[in-house]
Amino acid sequence: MDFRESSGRVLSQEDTSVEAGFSNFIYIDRNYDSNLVLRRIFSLARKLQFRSLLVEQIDGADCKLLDEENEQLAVRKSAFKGSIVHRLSFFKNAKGTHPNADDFLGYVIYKRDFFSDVASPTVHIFESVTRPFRQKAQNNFIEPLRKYRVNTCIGAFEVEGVLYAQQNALTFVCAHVALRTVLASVLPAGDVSYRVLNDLVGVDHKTRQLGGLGPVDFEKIFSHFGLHFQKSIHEPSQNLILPTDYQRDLYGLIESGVPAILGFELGSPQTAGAVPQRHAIPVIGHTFNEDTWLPQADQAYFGGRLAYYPSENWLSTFVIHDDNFGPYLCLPRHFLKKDNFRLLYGIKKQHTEFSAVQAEAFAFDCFLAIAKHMSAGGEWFVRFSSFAIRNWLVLRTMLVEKAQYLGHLRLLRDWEGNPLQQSAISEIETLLPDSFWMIEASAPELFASSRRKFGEILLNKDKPLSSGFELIIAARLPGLMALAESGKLRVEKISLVGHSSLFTYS
Amino acid sequence: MNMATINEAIQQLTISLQELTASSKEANPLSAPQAFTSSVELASLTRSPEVQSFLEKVSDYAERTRNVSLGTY
Repeated sequence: MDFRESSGRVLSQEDTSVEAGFSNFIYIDRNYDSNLVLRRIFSLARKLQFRSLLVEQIDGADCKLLDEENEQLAVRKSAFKGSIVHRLSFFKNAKGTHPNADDFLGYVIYKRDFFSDVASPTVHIFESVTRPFRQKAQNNFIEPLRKYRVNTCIGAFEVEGVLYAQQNALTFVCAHVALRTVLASVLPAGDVSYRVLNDLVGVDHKTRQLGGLGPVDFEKIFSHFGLHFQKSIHEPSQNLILPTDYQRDLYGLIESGVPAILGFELGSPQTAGAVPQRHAIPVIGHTFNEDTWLPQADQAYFGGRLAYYPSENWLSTFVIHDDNFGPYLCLPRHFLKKDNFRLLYGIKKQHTEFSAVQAEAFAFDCFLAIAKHMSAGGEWFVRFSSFAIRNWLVLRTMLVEKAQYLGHLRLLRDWEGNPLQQSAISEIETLLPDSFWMIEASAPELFASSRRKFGEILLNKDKPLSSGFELIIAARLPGLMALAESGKLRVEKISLVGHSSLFTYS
Repeated sequence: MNMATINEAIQQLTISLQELTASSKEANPLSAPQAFTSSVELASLTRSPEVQSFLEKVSDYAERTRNVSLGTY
């Protein structure tokens, strides 16, 4: 039984409304050790307009996970005496009224660990899930949301969000909490305990104590759970220099709706000869700025005057959880320099032979070839060709599933309201594998402001890049659909002759 | 990249789009429809050596670093 399932013992119910003059700062100073991360979580609850707070204590007798965690602590440090755990739940309804399902905004598990050799307890946020304050309507794109059911003493409630956790620096560290956020988002069973993670990598707190987890540990864990992953590293001291910008690799992963883990070095060490510390954080989404200034230096440039605009250009910040500062924080796209970047893991829903960055570059070559060799006779196709040949295409790459793509096709309308004819949808359906790379092609103003595109190309993700144009499954552009067939592309006219909406995960 | 290059790129695109607009205005709706490509041999499509070179570089680096495990977090 975990902290969400456990029933707690009511300690208090607070009126946290603005009208009552409730102060997050004063409450946390007086009751929760002036904890910085808790202040962040309470500030998110305030943005969500919480009006009441339920505080419960959870004891080991009610929560097997608590006992398990404390057993690990006792092995790690013999001075460990015990812990006090509070669950704080945030509600929109006023104190004294019974909450509806929609009133539950989230919760936080606050753990105090007591040791005989230290006067004050060590504290950390064991976990927290709150609703993201901003979502797609506010240009925040956080896809790996999950529902968590919490069994409070006033009823069971659900909250949808991305699980956040903070390290205790004894039995689990930043790598564990980053892994936990990622695994909780993608595993069918959801959350996984630190005991399980440590067992998988041989950390028993006796023969192997925690000095952090390395890439080989991350990969043991991913493999254990049968997860496909993509890895990027940058180790200048070993002359291993990532050939791309890590931000493009990162965006390519999270744009497919899954979280990633970003590892970096924390500046220069203070002591000569010391190894710089490293930190890992989960990346769970991004924000979008449709008015981004577009210097041509930000094109993906291949040399020989070939270039396009990756849609990553309009990414403003990455949305992260940071175990030092709290959940749903925005990391500016260029804040973390490549010099400090060291490691990136992205979980892929399916295996792919090549990465999103490679799929996008290859697709650019395909669009260029189509622009030069095909004609649909229509104005919008010629417009697409102009943008392609003049290096002004915007490309956006995602890993999509067959049903998602077919659903997208059925909803498409061009500017005049023309749909894609059912016969074309039926034809392409016969060619589609279960999942594939989809690369959308657009123009700067069309993409960023109107959220629309010329069309898309579909690539087989299970064949190697050496297959060349045999990777093409199909391409849909204004006025035409090209279908792969025995060494050629059979081109059909379609009723969708103009631009159409970008794909979104529903 | 400099302002002259940026301005040239903008100008080239603008000229292409203006040519497209002019041809759309001149088009006689009663004339024969413009050519439509019904089939293209994949072998006739040309790949850009610059893009191929980039793809190979990325693949080579991924292979070279596949089993590298440095640092702890």
